[in-house]
Amino acid sequence: MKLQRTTTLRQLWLREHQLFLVLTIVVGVLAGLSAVLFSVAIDWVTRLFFGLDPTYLRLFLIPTLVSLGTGVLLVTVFPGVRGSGVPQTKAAVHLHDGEIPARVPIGKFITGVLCIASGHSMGREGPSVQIGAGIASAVGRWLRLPPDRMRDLVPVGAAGALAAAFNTPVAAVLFALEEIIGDLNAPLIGSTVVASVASVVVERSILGNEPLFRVPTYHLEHPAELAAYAVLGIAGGVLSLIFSQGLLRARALFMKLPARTRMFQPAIGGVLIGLTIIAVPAVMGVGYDYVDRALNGGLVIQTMVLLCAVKIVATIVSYSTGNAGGIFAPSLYIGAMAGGAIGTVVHRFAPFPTADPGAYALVGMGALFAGIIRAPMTSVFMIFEITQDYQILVPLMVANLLSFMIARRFQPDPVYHALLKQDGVHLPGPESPAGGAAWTAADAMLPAPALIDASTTVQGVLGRPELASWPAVLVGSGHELLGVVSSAQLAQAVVAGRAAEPISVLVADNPVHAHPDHPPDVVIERVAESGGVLPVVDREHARHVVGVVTLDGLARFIARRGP
Amino acid sequence: MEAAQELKVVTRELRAIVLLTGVAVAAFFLTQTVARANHQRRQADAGMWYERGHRFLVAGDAGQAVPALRRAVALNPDGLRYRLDLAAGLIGTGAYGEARRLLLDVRQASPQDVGVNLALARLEAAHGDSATAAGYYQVALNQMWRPQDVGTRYQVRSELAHFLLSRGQRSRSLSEVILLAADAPDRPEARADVGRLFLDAGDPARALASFDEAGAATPSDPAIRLAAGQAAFALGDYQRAHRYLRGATALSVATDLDAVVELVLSTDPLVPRLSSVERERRLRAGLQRARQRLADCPTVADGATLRDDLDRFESAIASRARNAPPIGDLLDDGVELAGRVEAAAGSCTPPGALDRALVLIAKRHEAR
Repeated sequence: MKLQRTTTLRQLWLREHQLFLVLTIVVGVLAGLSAVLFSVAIDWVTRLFFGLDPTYLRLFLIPTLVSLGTGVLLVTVFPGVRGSGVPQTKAAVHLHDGEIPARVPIGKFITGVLCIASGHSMGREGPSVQIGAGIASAVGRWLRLPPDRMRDLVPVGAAGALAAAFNTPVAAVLFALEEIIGDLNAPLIGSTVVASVASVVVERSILGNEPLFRVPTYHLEHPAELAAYAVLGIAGGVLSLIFSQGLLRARALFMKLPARTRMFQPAIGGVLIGLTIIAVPAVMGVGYDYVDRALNGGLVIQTMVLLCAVKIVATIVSYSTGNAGGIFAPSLYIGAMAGGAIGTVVHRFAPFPTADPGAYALVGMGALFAGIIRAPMTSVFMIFEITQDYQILVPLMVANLLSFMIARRFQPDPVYHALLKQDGVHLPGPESPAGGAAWTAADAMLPAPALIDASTTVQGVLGRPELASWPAVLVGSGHELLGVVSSAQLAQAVVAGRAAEPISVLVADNPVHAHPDHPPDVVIERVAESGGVLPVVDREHARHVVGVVTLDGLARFIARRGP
Repeated sequence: MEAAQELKVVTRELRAIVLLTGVAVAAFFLTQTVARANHQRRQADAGMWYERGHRFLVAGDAGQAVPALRRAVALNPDGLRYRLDLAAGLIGTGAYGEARRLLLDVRQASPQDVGVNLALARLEAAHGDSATAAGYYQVALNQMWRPQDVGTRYQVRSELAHFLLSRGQRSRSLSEVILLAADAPDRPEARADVGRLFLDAGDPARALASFDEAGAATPSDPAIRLAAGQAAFALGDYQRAHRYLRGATALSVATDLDAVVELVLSTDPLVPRLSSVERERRLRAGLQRARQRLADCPTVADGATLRDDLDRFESAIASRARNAPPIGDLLDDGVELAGRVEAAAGSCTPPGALDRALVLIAKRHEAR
């Protein structure tokens, strides 16, 4: 009887496994087709918007007017499809069990095509990832897959889309594991490989097996050249930081503007981009033509320096004003220009034989990708697959590693995580292992006390007897947490004669907090840092307090649970 | 009951998979159709940009041609003539490095393509390495040529021969010119071109034969007669050279070669059918001219030795008994001495026609 049940279960498991395999193929094909269609649509609409030889007026008006239209769409019809799409896909996998509303891939397709085709300095790969993931989610939802399977299917769709967008199946698999799932050893490797292969097969059957860039074979000409590549890696790290920080700060500025301006922010970007592309048309859109030229030594150093600088600014403008498009392609563009410029200097002045500047442009692409996107393995394989050139792998790894390390040292959060944080979404990190902890913050937390309004004076807070027993108070505005102020800080403020000032002046940025899924070690460590009251906040709305953990409460909880 | 439930689930899933597959197939064909239409549109745009760029290129405005051709190549990266024209434009703007990389990239895809190899050969010939250039020329020439393209092959080989000659590689050039002669069209100008190449490559005999073929068709072409005269002159056949050159002069082609040839013929003491008196007169005239040249060039190397030789030789002639037999073997030594003096004095002052004639007379009889 028991044996029969086991056999049936085993058969059922195999059937489900096979079903999932078939689904990964279908999702891979659909995601690949969506990426191809997205790319073709951008190409077509660009031609439609600008014609063969656009006038200055047209160069200015198209991004301005189109952005006005997309601004309306992005606020009223398709909220949640601004920007790249990769952070949203990560959030969907980690926080929503792979649930992506059906309007997201549709909206991303439409607004992505309009934004990129109208000249915004953005890439098509990030949107492709979100569209592919959205298709996978829709398929999973339609088939009523359980949440764990839905969660698995979304990275598969993302990998399929990226594989077709770049014609890079291996890099797409690595990206799905490294960036979307956040674990190179994830058990999903088989499914992502299948989807990537299926996607690339359909992509190549439609567009042919052409690499994205035509690059001559480059070699390491002299061992000393590795030092030059190391310099390029360092420069790549610095540029990655400039780009990421610029992007985050500009976006933060626009986010601080009143909510009613949201609809018009893309148009502000459109005006600025219109003026930019009149002066420097080479930065409009995806810009792979110019990357190709840099890779083939077709640009002089002055041009490459100019394009590098203008592309950084243009991408920051396009992205921070809320347009729909990615940062993959801009990071490759900036890297190619920076690498080409450095390569030209090295080629001219190095006392040893060196490769052409194009080789440095190639390595620069990888270095910037590793520094900005923070996916070093994806970067190495992507450059290899794009160029189909093995010879440059060692310099590429050296530069990538340095760029990655520098970027991580000065900005610990990868740009996608930082963007999500700006939106109040905190993704689980490596400290939150799924299902492995004895207890979590959610188990130990107490109900959250009412937030003290930020305008309340220090004296006013101290005068409230119900707060006297708390070692710290939570300060907020409405239901939004602003920070935590300890009793010691309040006492110091009184001594310093600031009792009449509002409590908000004592609130520091980025208060220490925990999320409900945080394990014991994280909770204990953060309670110690917090000054006695650790707010536990929602991952999807990081300003929303769901409870607090106090030292006393934690001690009681541990005592109750037993050793 | 459980089995029925399971069957229901399996059926639903199967139906869903079939439906999804149908959607995927339909989406594939839709995408393919859209992509094809876009591809055709890109091809058409590329064609327009190419036409524009090509017009500029033909008009010699490489600066305007390159941006248009770049667009054509971006829209249609596989367009071979687009890329070749772009390479030509880049060469025109001085972007040799990029042009070379572009051509090498094209060559990677079509290593045997004549146009690509030829473009690379021309690029290397103008701005790179001679051996590499010659290699690309050879690759271009060694391809299978269609019968209707033999004329092009002739032009390419002619270009290679000229290139090798310009780099001083006469023997390599000669082998190319020999092959070229076999391909040469049956037109007098082509034969004459081949003849000139033979002449430059150091084979005056073949050159003269080619000029004779060309001249047979156009006997009154002064340029061909002049070239034939030069070939005959280089061969040392002064009679024939004189005949051709006289014809060229009569046809109003100015040449000092004719004067030299005339002097060779009129001052050589060793030509047949001359009286002893005339031979001696010519020899004395030659030696006198040689002495004059030495006097004009006091700083000439070995001047003193040469003067002594001249003195001794003239004494030897003078010491002969009056009415003695013809000077005979003294003639050879005299001609050789006059030639030696003239050759030495050539580094001092530019030689006149008579001086050149004396050197040639000495060379003419040197081998005998």
